[in-house]
Amino acid sequence: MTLRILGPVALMATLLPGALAAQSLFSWGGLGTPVEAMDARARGLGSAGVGLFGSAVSFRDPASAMGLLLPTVTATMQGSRTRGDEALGGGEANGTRFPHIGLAYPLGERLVALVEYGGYLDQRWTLERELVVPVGGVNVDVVDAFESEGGVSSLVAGAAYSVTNWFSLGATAGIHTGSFRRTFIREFDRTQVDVNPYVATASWTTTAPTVVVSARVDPLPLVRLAGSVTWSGDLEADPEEGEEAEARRFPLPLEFRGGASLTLTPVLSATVGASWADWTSTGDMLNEGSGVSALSLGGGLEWTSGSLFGRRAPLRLGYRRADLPFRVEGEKALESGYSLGGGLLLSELEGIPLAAMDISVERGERTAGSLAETFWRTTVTLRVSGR
Amino acid sequence: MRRVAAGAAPSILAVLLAGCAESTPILGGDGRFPVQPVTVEWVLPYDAFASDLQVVGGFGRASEVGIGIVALSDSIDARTILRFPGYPRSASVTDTLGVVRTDTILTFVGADLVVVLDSLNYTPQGGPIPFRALALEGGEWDGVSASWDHAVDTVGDRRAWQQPGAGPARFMAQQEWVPSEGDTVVIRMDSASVAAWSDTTNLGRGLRLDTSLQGARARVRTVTLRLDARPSVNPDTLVQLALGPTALSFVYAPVPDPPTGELRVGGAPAWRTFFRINVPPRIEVPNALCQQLSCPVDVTPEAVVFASLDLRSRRAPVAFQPLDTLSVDVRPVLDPDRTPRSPLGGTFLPFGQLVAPEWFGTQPGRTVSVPVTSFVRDLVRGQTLAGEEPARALALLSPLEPLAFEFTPFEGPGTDGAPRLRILLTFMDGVRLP
Repeated sequence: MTLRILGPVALMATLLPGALAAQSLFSWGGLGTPVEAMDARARGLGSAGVGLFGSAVSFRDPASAMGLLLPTVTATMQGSRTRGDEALGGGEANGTRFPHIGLAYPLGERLVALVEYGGYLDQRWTLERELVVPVGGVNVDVVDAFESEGGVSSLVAGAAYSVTNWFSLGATAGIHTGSFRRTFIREFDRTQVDVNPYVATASWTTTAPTVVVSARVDPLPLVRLAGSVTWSGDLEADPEEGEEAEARRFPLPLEFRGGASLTLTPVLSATVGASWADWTSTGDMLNEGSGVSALSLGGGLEWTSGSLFGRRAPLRLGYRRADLPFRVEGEKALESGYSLGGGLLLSELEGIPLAAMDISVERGERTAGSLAETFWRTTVTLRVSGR
Repeated sequence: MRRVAAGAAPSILAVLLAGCAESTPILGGDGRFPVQPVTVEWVLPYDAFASDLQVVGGFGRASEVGIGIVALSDSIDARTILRFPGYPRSASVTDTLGVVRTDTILTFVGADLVVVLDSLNYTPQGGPIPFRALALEGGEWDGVSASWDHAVDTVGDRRAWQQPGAGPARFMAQQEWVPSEGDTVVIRMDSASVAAWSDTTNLGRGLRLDTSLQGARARVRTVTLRLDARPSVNPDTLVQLALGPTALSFVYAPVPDPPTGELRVGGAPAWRTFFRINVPPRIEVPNALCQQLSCPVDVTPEAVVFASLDLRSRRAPVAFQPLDTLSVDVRPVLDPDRTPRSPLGGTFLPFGQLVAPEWFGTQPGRTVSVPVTSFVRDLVRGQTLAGEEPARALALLSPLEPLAFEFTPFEGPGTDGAPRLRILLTFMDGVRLP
């Protein structure tokens, strides 16, 4: 059975090279845009990924795995479509990624082991410009492209522990790992001069240690509170072997997350969440751009009385606004959007969910000064439990 | 609602297709570029990059061109020589009863020499041009190695003609070619000559085609001997049997002298031009490019986006001026110390750089750019991409040797149009993290 549980994880792992595909034109600022490893339910509720009712394998809230009675695999896929305004060149991008894959394995009644893989930063974008370059007395049309590929993901392992039936702790530790590859290409109009493109490229591998600690409290039967702290060491970017690029080191901030859920009626609950991280010291190490103190706020409602094909199918509505960690062209960048989501309990046994699917669709925008882009983002999470 | 559905559908679809709809976000805007590259043209005069020039002739043989040349002027005398194989010993003919039989007793009573000429390139324009057919009587000759002075010129065996220019030769027949009437001239041969050529033990047998018209010049594409045979099974009829030559070549004089102040490519036998190349490792003050660059600046192989050897065409001697588009190939010299016998590397251009015939006649002074980008990159790198020592010399030659009787001359060192090495460079501070 364990193999049956691990099978989907292995399948997802084979797809991971494409896991950090482009999601935003704003990735071009600083070290990129954050890839928040949240599942579709958290997205649908506009939360910060902590403090939701129920049990889940959550990257930012390991304590939330407490309560899972069976080995559980969860995988989240996310597709997005982004369109920049004219000031951003009118570019459009589609992307698909797997921001979170996790495995939870109960070890007795009070302990759940966790292995998780999640996205952290996205650095995939391309700048293009057309210009005329005088070459040997001839004005030659030239297209310059500067491509950035790669990003940073996190691989962590840890456990959730139930101190009491109303208080749980969780902790995971691991590494941020990834790569950056930057390439400049100058293409000459070959109808004017038969010239090879000029290509300059450099690649780095990145690593940093990381630890996530969280706590979950149910002070009242209808209330849940949770909070987490993510610590990361310096992100070391080392040139790949044979590359002459400069090695760099970027401090990563402490990240605080908090969330609360409240049962309003037997079929309706509300949740709010916030996160905060100070990226200014990271920004101080940048040659281009700067970091900000980034705050996110959000919340939503969940209605659990819905059904589809005779199965439970909750509906969710949420809103979230979040500062992006790096300024874009000197302006603080903000992401905001509404979300609509739902779920479907595919299979359950004696009240224990065996298979479930959640989906959320977000419509939002990112702005920085006069720059803006709109996006549609769809997140789907599949959860399978078994023994 | 419909707009919402239309907007959300692609992102939902992207999830369903899981990675099949990737597209990188592309931003526009000049001011957002994190790098500011500069592209410049670096032109090196001959003395700054080239040395040890050698122009060497004698590659290949005239017979390898595959055509004949007939010319007569103050500057050139060219004659086509050819030999036919033994005559057929039998033929299928219809006898007096109308039955097709193989007749082995044939009597050759005459022949037509059918000469097909290049009707686009000849002088004088409009003609007529008289062609003479002469029987060679100078003894044994070699269809591959024969030249103006030598009937045989092979390794260890060099024998001169009794008379230079494939002589002596006995006049047999003459016919004028009128180009307006077609590209073929037919010369009628008598039975005595036909009979003489049938002796295959005579290694001196052969035919010489030349002209007596001063200023004439023509290229012979093919020659066919059309034999008239009388079969024994039906003596009242004649049958015609066609033979192609086993040897077709040309001899000419004078052979042009090795040039001074000139690069030469082509001809038959062919000329090659060799020289060593050295690329300075950096651009230093004083140099006009330093207005755009922070000199001194090292030249790197990655910076070399294009390099060409720029040659200036010059007028060829009238007798050797190209009549068709020719081609100039460039190859690395793998062992420059053994020039001109050094092996050559692969060509940089599959078919060479094409050059128009008028650039070496009526329109000299045209620039011919021969791309040598990878060669220059290897020189700058100090090794090839495979990690081997790079070639440090170049050979200019015909893609096929010999390609044509005519050759292509270029201005050499010491002239205003001396070769230049033109390199396009793109410099940038390097790719960095933000």
